[in-house]
Amino acid sequence: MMSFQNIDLEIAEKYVPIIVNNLRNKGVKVGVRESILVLKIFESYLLLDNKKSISSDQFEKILISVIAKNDYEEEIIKKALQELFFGKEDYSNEIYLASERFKNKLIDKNKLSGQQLGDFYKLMAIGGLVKRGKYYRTIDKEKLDQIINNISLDQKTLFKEKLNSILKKLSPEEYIKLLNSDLFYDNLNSLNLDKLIKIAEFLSKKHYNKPLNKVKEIIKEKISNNNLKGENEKLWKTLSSIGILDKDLQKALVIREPSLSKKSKLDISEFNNLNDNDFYNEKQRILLNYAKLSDNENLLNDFLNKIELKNLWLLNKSPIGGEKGKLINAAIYSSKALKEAIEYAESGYEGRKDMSNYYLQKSNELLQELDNKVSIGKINKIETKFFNNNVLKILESLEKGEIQGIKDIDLAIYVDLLRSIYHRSDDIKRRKIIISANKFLTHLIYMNGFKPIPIKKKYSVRPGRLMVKESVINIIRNKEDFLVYKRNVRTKQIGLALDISSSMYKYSSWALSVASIFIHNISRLVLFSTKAISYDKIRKNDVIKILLTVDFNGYTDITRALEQFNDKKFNKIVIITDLKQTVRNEDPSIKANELVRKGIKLLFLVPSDVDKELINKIRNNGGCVKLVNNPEQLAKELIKLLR
Amino acid sequence: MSLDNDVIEKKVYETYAQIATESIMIRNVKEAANILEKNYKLIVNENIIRLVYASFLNGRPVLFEGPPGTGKTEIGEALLELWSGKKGFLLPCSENYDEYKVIGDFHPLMAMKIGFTEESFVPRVLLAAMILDVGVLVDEIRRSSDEFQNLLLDIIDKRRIVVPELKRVFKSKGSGFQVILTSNPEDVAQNELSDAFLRRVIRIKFDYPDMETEKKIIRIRSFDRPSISEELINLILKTINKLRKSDILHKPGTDESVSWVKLAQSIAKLENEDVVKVRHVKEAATSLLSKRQEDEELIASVISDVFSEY
Ligand SMILES: Nc1ncnc2c1ncn2[C@@H]1O[C@H](COP(=O)(O)OP(=O)(O)O)[C@@H](O)[C@H]1O
Ligand SMILES: [Mg+2]
Repeated sequence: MMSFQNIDLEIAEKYVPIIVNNLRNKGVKVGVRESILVLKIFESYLLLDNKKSISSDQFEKILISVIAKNDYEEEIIKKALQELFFGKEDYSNEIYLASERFKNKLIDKNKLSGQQLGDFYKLMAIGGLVKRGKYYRTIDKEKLDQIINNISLDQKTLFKEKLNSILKKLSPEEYIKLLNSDLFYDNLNSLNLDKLIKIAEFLSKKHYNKPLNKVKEIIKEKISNNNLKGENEKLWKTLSSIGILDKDLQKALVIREPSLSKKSKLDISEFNNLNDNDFYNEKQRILLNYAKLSDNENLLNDFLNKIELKNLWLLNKSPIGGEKGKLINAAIYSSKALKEAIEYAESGYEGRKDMSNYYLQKSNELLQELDNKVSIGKINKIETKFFNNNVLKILESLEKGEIQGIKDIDLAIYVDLLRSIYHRSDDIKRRKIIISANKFLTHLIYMNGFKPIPIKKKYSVRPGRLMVKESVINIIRNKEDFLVYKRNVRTKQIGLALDISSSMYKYSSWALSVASIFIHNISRLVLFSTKAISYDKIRKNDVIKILLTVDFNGYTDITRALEQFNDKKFNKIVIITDLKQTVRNEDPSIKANELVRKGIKLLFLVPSDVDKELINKIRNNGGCVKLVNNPEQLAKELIKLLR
Repeated sequence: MSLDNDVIEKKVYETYAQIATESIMIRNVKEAANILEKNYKLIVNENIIRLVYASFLNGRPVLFEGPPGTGKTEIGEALLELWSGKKGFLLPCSENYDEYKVIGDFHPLMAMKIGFTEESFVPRVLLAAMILDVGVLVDEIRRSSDEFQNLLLDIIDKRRIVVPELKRVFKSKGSGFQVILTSNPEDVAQNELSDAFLRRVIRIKFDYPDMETEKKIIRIRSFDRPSISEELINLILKTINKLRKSDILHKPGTDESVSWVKLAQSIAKLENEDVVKVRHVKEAATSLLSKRQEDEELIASVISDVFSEY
């Protein structure tokens, strides 16, 4: 192990070229000029202080000051030095350290925990331990060194597999002992559900939230992937008895077993965006269950407030009679009409179109019999009529065979329509859908009075390449007497994080639409719900594809979203979310504060009904919060910011 | 060419020498730190001085990066002065700077009469600094254009200025001509510095001082009387630090904490008090901290929060 207290000129001369080379491989632009300058400044330090060497801290500072152009590169330099002087990335070092710990000692395995125990298993996996009665000890020193020296990159996978198979067999109690070692997280995935639940139980009792979250996530994945029927109620009981049955897990279970919705405290709105195609039966059963539970007018009112109009077709018919019942039926017909219109768009069957028209007619007939004032939940006569009009427009433009004809309908409905068609189309048709969505979104943004920013700008002064054609046009047609040069406009760059949990469907559809137009200004796009995915340098069509395919589902984990911006310097990060951190993780305001202290500006754009306390918490930690009243306004705010 | 018959050098001496007054040259790091504290009332970390001096030894420009009020300008000026033993020049940047505005220009009337000659030439700051061998502090570099930045770096790299109209090249004669640039990278309203630019300067980051340093700065910069208790200074710094972490637009720098204390002292003095009281501190706060109406509410709430028990 190398470790430098002080660095003299000889060491510096040896290492600067290595470091510089290392940095180049990591994408930092650095030339010979800078290497020489580092050494010269180094010498000047010796001169100024009349010394023969300087501290490694000072050495690091020189490198950073000369080479780093921003905080991000500063981090890279720090890491590179760490690696160089302490070999952190080096795998055989890890084993070496483990062997150092146990060399010439009798090991009582039962007394080990955490990193010690982790090291023990690592040694075991390479065959570095022998059992002597009750105790273990490391094998012959020479042999051990030989094994360690031979651990190469390709053996690493082998080694990991071996390690994994050892850890898989551990009892939950034994596995928990690994909690403070790197192995704990790495191998959770291979444990079975029973063991995971036991581990979760333990962690939950001790309030170890971070590992608990991770375990829960894996439990959830296992639950949604396995098909054991009939176990759901039992699972529900077990998970809730150990206090880890959070919304996420509840939802996964309700989807598997809709009758559990009674037990859950989940809102029907959680299921609005469940994919119709993949969860057709489940979704219908869930909605019917909720409808059944809403057996008085108050509950029904609440239910109809939370269910999206487009999902009403799953109900078939109003659960109540009277005027309000009539209105509900009219809305159900509207929803069916939209559903049929979408089917028509996909299949081209004329029968579907006729059905859609038929439902529209039914709906409008019912509406005519009703007074304007009748309303229940968010359903009322005028809205329903408006909805029907939109469906009619869709039908008309489909008849003409051009999706992009649908210009003035609501974005949310349009996106729904396209998403649904996209889902069931073949590749060729998908490409067409992307093109038409592209046109529609551009149109939409233009209609709102905004133009994307050009990436190239024409200049009359001479900072870039001469544009011959433009110059000729400029002189002949525009009768201006200057040449035109091209130069890249330095556009504003931001990181954008979008909450795609189910509650944010409308807001984030708008935001994504805006993002697709202003994609040049977005250096990283992060979509987050329970999980977070980040995209760097994507193109407009990719964003549209995301808009058409992403599942607006799951819960909000803002902390996770913010973690996506750890690795690089962003001047400004915009987070669009309803701030409802429904996943138990580290407090998002702490993470926010961490970023703010790195000098990053954080702006949260949130719906106006968000909890004031949450807003204050973010603000107190240095984040900026702006309230918007509706998705359209959000789009406008975002555009303002990007321009 | 001797001074007597060089028209341009003579002009420079006539107009600029009175600014570049002589002082003492100090190139020892520890000593510089002491003098900065004693004579300039500036608390500067030795590591910063060392890196600046090492850069100067190699003729490299230094970029001070950091939020407003962290002493970039003042410390930069002081270091240039200590380095060259003469007061340097301050060049506050603006969008429309070009070589004529910083190197030299021709007097329009005279140029019409006698042509572009040394007589009609009017030397400006950068040329003057090179001729007088003193430092230049280029303040808020991000306000200037790319073209200006390139011009500047070119001059620093080659340590010479070319005036083509006069067919003359002015070369730096000593090591006193050095450049410090300042920038506030958080200000989104200004241009970004290009990577090419950043590669050619030595970057030094400035940040708000830690509590102890800031207390020291307040002590040496405020009045001796009326006296103010440690406890009150702590409250002031607590407030200031909270505001620095908040999202108000104008975050308070070290200058604001110093002014706050001084203002509280002045108010106490008006009231004939020997000791600064909480109410003086509070009174000083409102008039001092809020630079924008939108921030007022937040500032008030932070203050009432911190001072709640007083
Ligand atoms: N390290 C320091 N020592 C003493 N005073 C300081 C220091 N840093 C900042 N100040 C105070 O802040 C004021 C403003 O500093 P200035 O150089 O204008 O900051 P900047 O250029 O970073 O905006 C100074 O006049 C001084 O009162
Ligand atoms: Mg300044």
